Amino acid sequence: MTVSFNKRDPIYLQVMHYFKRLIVSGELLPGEEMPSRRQLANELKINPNTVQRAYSEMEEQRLIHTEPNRPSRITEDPVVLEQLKNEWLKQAMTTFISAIQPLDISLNELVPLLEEKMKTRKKDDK
Amino acid sequence: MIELKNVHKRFGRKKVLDGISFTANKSEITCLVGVNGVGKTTILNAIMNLTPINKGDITIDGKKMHANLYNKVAFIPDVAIMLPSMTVHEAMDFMKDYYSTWNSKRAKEIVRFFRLNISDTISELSKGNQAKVNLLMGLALDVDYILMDEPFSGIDIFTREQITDVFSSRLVEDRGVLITTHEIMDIEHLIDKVVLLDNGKIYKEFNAEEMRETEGKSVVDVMREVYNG
Amino acid sequence: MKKSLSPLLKLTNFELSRLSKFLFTLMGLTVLANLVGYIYIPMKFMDKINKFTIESSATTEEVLNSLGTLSFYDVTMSLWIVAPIAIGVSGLLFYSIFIWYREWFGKNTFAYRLLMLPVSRMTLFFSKFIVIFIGIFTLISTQIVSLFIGYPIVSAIVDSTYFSSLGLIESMYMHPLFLILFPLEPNYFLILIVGATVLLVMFTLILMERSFASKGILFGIGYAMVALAIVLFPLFLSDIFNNNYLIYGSELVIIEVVLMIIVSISSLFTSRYLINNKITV
Repeated sequence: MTVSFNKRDPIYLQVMHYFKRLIVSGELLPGEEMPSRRQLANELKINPNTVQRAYSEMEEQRLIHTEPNRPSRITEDPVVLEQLKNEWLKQAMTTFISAIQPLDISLNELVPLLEEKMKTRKKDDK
Repeated sequence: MIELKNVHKRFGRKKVLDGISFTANKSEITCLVGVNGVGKTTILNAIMNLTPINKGDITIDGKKMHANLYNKVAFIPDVAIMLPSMTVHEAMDFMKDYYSTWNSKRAKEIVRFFRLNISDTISELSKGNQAKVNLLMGLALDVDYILMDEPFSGIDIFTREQITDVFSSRLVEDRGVLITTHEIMDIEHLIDKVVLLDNGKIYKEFNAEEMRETEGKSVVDVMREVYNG
Repeated sequence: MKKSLSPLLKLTNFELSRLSKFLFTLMGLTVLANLVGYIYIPMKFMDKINKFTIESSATTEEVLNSLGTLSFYDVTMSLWIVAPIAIGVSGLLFYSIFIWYREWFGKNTFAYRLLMLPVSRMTLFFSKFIVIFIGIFTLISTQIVSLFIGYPIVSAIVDSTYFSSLGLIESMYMHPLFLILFPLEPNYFLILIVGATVLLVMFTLILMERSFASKGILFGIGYAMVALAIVLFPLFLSDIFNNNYLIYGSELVIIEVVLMIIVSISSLFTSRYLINNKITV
């Protein structure tokens, strides 16, 4: 597990982002165990208090849940998972839209290009 | 909590500490950063009652430093402090003899973590391994606070990585850590609190994560502003 | 079990093990030099006797008249016995200073570790103090044992005709050094008190230097001079008042003992203050 953090954004947000990505991509399955806080801090080489903060935030957002004296687990709540995926997509689209903002391009022109891109991505995956 | 209140210290006519006040909390890693000068080391020495101060107060959980507190606060200076003629094993025995908080099990763990050979004589160790022996003597104590002076100075990159690992490992656990350094880059992600020091004064004291969250600045950004501005 | 041992005992034992090499060297030197003296001096003497006897074909009486006898005392006054004592005394004097400074100026700064031990810092002080005295007594015992070995050696080498009837114990009592160093007289305790006071003042001086650097040396010299003046003052009372009957000898001894104890105690308190509050690594 290696993550390169940037130095100007709060680390706890970067840790959360990292886990959200693992969840939406299915690399972490619903109900799966999370690493312990200490273990994660050690692996990512970051401050344990920061990991604690990230976990608390994720608990608040119900992405993970923790029973006393047990490791935290990824949520199995379909509503939360759906919400996370939507949020992720919304975020990505916002970024995409703002990136193409300077270009004068219509939706009709854009759709085939997107389809093309999606196809090649699927090919690359195979 | 280690608390310094208005600490002054002179060496002859030279003011080394000119009204220093800050706190280092338990379960936090506090980093004393200064570009140069003797101030940082003097602060740690003064906390450990290894050098007198001219004015001010230093307390550890509300108490002044005294003999028994050395069981609760460990100091790892950046010079070798065990007898050069001792083997690592003998040095560990020496610690065990005097410190009620010496944790033999953890000591063994640290020896393995640093890949030290306990039958080696200290004087024959490389600088990096001497630094590791120093760390071993401090980290194997079940203390509430650990003070480290320039743990990264003058050692090779691999040792540096190992020492960096210590901060996020079980070896530090929930203890309060106070370290001094002039090279913050490697450990920016590891520390909670930063205390910027120059010319015997404190320029800024802040929480690194809060600084990133509220001002979007890295620790180095803040240092640049403070020291260049 | 180890934990229950008092820190003072542990530290003294530790200091002793650090002294041992130096001490063994001094002991070895003493025994070796003494042995040479026990053998070489009587042999040289017998050589002289034999040569004289042969060259001038003198009678025993004539030889005795011109060369005299050799006593064990003569042997103990030779450099072979006196020099190792001088070396031992100066060696331990040197060690009394070295025992502190090596913690700062050794290859590693062991002073950090010692001052951070969770024991009262005066324990360090006392362990060093005790170890110097262990060194002193060890060397004295070595010298005494050596004399007991030396006497039969000398008497075996020297022809009984030419060997003075002066015994071993009598030789000791005549010897100016043994009279001070060995517990021969009841007032030996005075010498111990003098020794302890000197060592305490010296340690205080060292701690002053360690606390205040060069300024400390000045304080230290001042302190030592005041201490010396206090202790020596009564000795000159009769001169000052030009009255030899002002105080009796026995009273003078009591006054001196009291003054030395006062100097010792004030040195202990000063040292405690310095080592607890002022010392710098």
